[in-house]
Amino acid sequence: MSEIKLLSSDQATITVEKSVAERSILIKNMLEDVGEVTEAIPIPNVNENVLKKVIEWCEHHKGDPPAQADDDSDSRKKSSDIDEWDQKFMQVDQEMLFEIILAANYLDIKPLLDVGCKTVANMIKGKSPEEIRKTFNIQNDFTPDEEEQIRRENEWAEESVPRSQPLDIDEAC
Amino acid sequence: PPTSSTYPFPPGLGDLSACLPLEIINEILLFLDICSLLAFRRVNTVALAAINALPEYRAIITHAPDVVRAYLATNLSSHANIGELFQALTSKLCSYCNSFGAFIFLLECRRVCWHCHTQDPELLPICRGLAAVSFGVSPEALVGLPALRPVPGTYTYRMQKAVYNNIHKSLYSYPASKRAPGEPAYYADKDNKDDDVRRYQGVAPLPVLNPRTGMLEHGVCCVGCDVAYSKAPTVAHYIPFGRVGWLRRKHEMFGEEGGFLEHFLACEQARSIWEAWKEKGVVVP
Repeated sequence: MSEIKLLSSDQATITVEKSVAERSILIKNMLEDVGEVTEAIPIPNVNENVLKKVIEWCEHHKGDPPAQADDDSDSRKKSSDIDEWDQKFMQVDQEMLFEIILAANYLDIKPLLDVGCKTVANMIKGKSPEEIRKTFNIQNDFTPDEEEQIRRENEWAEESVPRSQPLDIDEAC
Repeated sequence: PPTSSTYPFPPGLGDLSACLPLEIINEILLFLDICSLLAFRRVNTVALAAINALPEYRAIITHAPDVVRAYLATNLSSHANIGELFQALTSKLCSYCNSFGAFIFLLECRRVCWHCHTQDPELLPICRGLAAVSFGVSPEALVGLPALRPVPGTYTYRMQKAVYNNIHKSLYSYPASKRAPGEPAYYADKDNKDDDVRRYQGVAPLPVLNPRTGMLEHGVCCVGCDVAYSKAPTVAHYIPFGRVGWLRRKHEMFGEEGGFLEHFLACEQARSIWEAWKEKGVVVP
């Protein structure tokens, strides 16, 4: 099994199996273009800790079927469920989580990017606006009037289906 | 506190915008369900703008506001995410049988055709008690399943009659020994297919959006089949789908490109109407 070396932004060299590294489309394309490389491939946007974490994920998922190009919209957005191993893997602090997402985006590892995005989405789900603000340190710059207006804007949708449009199955029968 | 009028610059999305570029934030928003997305809109001006600018959200709010309303009214809004809904809106075929579909099955957030949603035994929403008894679903699992809140509506005479029959005639056909405790007797374990009012509670009309052209397609139904069905002559034209009311009469709907023409060639009644039209000298577009 051939191995390649990756050089993180803080100049640490990590040796990794080629098939594992090729979960990253960026590295895969690079290797296809350059052919055999002996020196370390620089990954200037990702530091050692994050890179190790990403490789851990790639190693666990190396048996997964490769993502199809046309798969892009189909199975990806289907569900917001995360498998159990990935859920554990993503139990890191918020900063690390964002770093993993950025690294997955840079290295072009779509499934990992999705897992990261779903994890952040789950942090938002079911929360009130105030709770969301607290979670991500977001400043509220609405005036009370504006807030009231948006609440009312949302309300149009919260009312039930208007009576003027009944579910008219068979008016002429 | 500082507000939008006193703030020198927009405050951003806190940790989110400090660490992540906008395109990744948009990806995250696509995984949010309708309910959470509306909550996120109320966080601050930047969140409001980010969601209002999200192409998927705009498409859904512009072209399928009734679907969003249906989700909120039926209490299913936490079970459908915006990405899924957008995908359903831009797909064309029923995801259960691959013919043209003009509806959305709210419980699974997938496009469905008239035939599947009125006939497919898998797509019959059932009450909790029945689910527990028939499939042995544990109470904990039951809570996690999408549950639909029936929306009161105005039903037509035939539907009222069907509901009446469901309630009063099949009351004794479903023995009490088979019912879950507390389950009303009229939820007979009997699927009345297109007369079963339960089937209409979990669907809403959904047009097809072509994401490239931004054009909407509502589908057409065949008057030929209609005529053949009712055995009565009627005005010949094919009816663009605008209201659910049209659908009761036809068995199938077609996409505007290709699908209908194909059917037309096979449908005798439709062609005879076409001939009659030509004789009368009607100019056909």
